[in-house]
Amino acid sequence: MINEITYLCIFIFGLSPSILSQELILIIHKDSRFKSIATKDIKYIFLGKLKKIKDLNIIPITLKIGKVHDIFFDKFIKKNARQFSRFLKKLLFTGRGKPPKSYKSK
Amino acid sequence: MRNKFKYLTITVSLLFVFCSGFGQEYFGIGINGFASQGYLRSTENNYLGKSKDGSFEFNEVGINFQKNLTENLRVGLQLFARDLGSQGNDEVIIDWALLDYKWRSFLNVRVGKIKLPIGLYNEERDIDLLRTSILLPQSVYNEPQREVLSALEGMSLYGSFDMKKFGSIDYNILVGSISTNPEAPFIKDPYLSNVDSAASLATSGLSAVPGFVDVNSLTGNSKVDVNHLIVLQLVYNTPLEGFKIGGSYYETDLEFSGDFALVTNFTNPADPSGTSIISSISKISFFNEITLRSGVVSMEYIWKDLTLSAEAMLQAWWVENIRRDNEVAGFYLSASYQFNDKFAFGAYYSVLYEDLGNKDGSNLVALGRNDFEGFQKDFAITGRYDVNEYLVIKAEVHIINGTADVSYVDNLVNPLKEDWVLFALKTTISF
Repeated sequence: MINEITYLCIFIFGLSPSILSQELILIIHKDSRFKSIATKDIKYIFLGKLKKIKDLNIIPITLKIGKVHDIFFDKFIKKNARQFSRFLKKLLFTGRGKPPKSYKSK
Repeated sequence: MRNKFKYLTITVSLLFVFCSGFGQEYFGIGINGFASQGYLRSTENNYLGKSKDGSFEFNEVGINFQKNLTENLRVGLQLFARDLGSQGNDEVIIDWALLDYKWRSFLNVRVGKIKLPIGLYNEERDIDLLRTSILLPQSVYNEPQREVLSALEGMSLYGSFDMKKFGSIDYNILVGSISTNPEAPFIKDPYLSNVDSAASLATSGLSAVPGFVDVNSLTGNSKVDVNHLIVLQLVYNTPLEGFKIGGSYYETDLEFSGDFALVTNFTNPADPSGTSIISSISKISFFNEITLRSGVVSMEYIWKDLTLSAEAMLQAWWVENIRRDNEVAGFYLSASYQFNDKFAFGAYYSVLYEDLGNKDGSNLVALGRNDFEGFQKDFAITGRYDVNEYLVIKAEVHIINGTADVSYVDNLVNPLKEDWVLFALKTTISF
């Protein structure tokens, strides 16, 4: 179970910078039982609305800054980096939630 | 001591900002905070403090601690202090403190002290950095009521229903009670400016009041009980990306009881300038039962860097002792645009009516008040500059007609003026 959670977390880091300007590819670990994930579910995961898919806990993780981060949030969360940052601060300071962990590099 | 705390907190915050990235985490406990300092100055009428002379009594400081105990269970607490004229006075309070259990996307529960989701922005009104404007539109987010309508102690059920191609619906249901500060202007001012004050005085054996009346202080045995509070909020996230509409409703029973010292100020007939006054002090016992029901309808559309929003509020009061009702109503239209990563510009037009059945305030004249105390029409423009991710500077101008939201306590000596301008500056740091 723990491994599957970890695998799903990894997909954000699987974005390929070489195709950033055109399209994004999300990569999930080959051993994960997820064969596909709805775009809407990705959005809900990062907005804190979706914690489980098929009884599997989801833990979102983000990159701190950079092009991958920006394009991912623009395409999937429909917010630019500044808007997403303010959204996270809203969660944080109103008691609505704890923002996802973020890391400096892939 | 008070100032020491304030500046100590700001200093600590600055250290966090310049010595680290956003937030800190120790042993899985996330630590974040913010500090704001503002300045208000008005051409006429003291507003939210002694603004006519310029007021720095306008700040907010908060620090919070959060930890995920399990994958589904979170605990958190925010300490908060603020000063806004006679409100807050930098007394440290628990802003929110809760346990949050996330079970499914459609059903989750929080228990503890929880911020109230009234309208789109009530939960975040303490956090200046989240918005373009300095002051939220006072027609819906009334500052004198802020201490009472900030958070409740109780529980909340909330969640989100995905309706596939039709969007999603978020809901939030809260029940509980509120600990109130009997010194809050929300509680004191009705005895001064509300039409009920004359009736209250009459039942206390006093006749008409020739001049201003000031509730000088509520004594130690006074108290305010909020017996119950129910808040419901529904937000529909439409299929059009960035467009949502919502509605909030709350109702509560309030009991005010105790004694207060009433200072009655008479204009001195021997003084032709009318500027000196004679005061008399009376002690009055009171007990009031008030039922308050209120609803807010909301709309927000975010398209790229443009944010449009509009809300309307109706507040129905029923005072049991004197069997009087009153409906306060207001609305606003707002727009803000983010030009680049640094600069944003915003404007709104906000209208508040103290009595929906008497929008022009004409009924107030018979009570010895000005008709323009029945409404407040506010056109505001704001510029926001983000120096970096942690530091924000804002400047704002309000062109205001009417004084429905202006406190009598802050304007006892000088007569109210109908047309006035308010300037506001504010800076916020966060980590």
